[in-house]
Amino acid sequence: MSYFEIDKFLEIKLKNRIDRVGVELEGGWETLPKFEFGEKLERDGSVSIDPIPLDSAPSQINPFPNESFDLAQALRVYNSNHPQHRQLFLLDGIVRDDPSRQRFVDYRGRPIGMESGQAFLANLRAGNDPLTGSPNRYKKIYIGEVAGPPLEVNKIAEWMRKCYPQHVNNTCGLHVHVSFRKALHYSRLMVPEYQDTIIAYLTKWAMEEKIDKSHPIWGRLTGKNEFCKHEFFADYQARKTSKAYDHHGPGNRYTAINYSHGQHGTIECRVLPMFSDVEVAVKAVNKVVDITNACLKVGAKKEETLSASVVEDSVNSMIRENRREYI
Amino acid sequence: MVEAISNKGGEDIIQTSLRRTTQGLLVTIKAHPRVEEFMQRLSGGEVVSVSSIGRNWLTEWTEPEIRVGDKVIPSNRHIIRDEPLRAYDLHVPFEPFRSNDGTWIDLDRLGHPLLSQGSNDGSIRGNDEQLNMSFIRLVGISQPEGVQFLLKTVFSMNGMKKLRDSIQNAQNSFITEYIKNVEYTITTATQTI
Repeated sequence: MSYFEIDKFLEIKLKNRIDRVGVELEGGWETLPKFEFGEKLERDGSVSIDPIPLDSAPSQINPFPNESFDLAQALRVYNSNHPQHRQLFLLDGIVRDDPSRQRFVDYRGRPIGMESGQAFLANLRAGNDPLTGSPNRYKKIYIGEVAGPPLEVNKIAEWMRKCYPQHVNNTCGLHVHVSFRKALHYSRLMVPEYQDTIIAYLTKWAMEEKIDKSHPIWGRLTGKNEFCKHEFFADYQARKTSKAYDHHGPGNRYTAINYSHGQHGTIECRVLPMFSDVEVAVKAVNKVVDITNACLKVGAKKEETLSASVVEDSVNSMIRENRREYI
Repeated sequence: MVEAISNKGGEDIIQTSLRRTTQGLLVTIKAHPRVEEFMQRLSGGEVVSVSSIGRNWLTEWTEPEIRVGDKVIPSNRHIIRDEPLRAYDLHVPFEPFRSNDGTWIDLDRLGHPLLSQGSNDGSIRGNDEQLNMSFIRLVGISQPEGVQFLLKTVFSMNGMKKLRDSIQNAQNSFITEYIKNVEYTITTATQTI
């Protein structure tokens, strides 16, 4: 590991060279916050939250937020019998009260017993299992990922406090996207030392914060997490213009630092996991910002121009080849 | 002999310069009149606007107004050249060819990124890297100042050196294949009649 020595720059207030910061939060929400910037909860197959039993208090969750969800898709999810998917359906599967929907289908598209959505909707409204009508035994939780808007550095903490999920575990990542006004700043961070510096100084931060040794951050910092490997494919990644889900091979995005320039115009730090305490998460995001600004300070130098020239003795010089064969 | 050096006496046939700038990659292309004449002949003198084919090569850009707290950084217009980019319009496109380092060279992607993987028509396999050298079709590359344009892209220093090496090989191959005069003499002889 070869990283920049940035200690002295972390102790002083540096000029902020980051234009905007965007944070992706993964986890489970008992209630979704009121989104101001058009954010929405997206499904994320890597996030898995175990069902949470209902306590004695009645649920205050509104099963019908102002979102639409395809009913057939909801039932397919429901019928998969996967606890996580079942939860997704119960909480995230929002049924439109649409009288034109005459029937429900199973995951193969075959009609199932209910000819009308009315009983289904009534059960759902009552907080019961929508198909059987039996009382739910689990809390309704929205599971997935919320991608925050690009915000100024000093506004990130407020957004995170407002939107942070109530339930997180080791399947949940906290991804930090940073963008720059100057492409040159982005380019100067396309060195392996930047990733190594992020890892080295987040390790130092985690030790100072006395984060428990069982916390998922340690697996991510030591390169043991499949979703943030310590590999470097800056130029390959920067040229990709769409999301790829292949975990292996040059250019895959599952590296500690993902150069998602072609897709988002950002550098994505994938090292952080979600923390149960939002204040720790805010500190971690601010640390990523500080380390990034410090790396730019260290990496500032005059740019060189590279040239590729073809030089000839004369443009009229000729390729001559004589072939003589004797018979 | 074609050499990949620039400090030797002789004539520069093609020179491509790459520079990382605050807004992206600045590309400057200069060539011997023989190269531009070659393209002009192939096109029959017809030219096409680069921006009508691809929008990645910029000659000007405007930085939007930015608000940081109460501070407002006004929008700013930067101009590299007044004239829009034009290129010789080839009626019969060049088939992609391989340079001696194995990179596919494409001369038919005006205004597109310099590096890509695979080709739209499937003639180049998905993971093979392709270098877009269409910039040697630009009108004006034989002028003393050459032609300059900006790509809104980012490169690591190593990535840019690799790109420079690919362009070098591609230029060499192009000169050898299309520009240089070639004379083959084939003689059949006998020891005695």
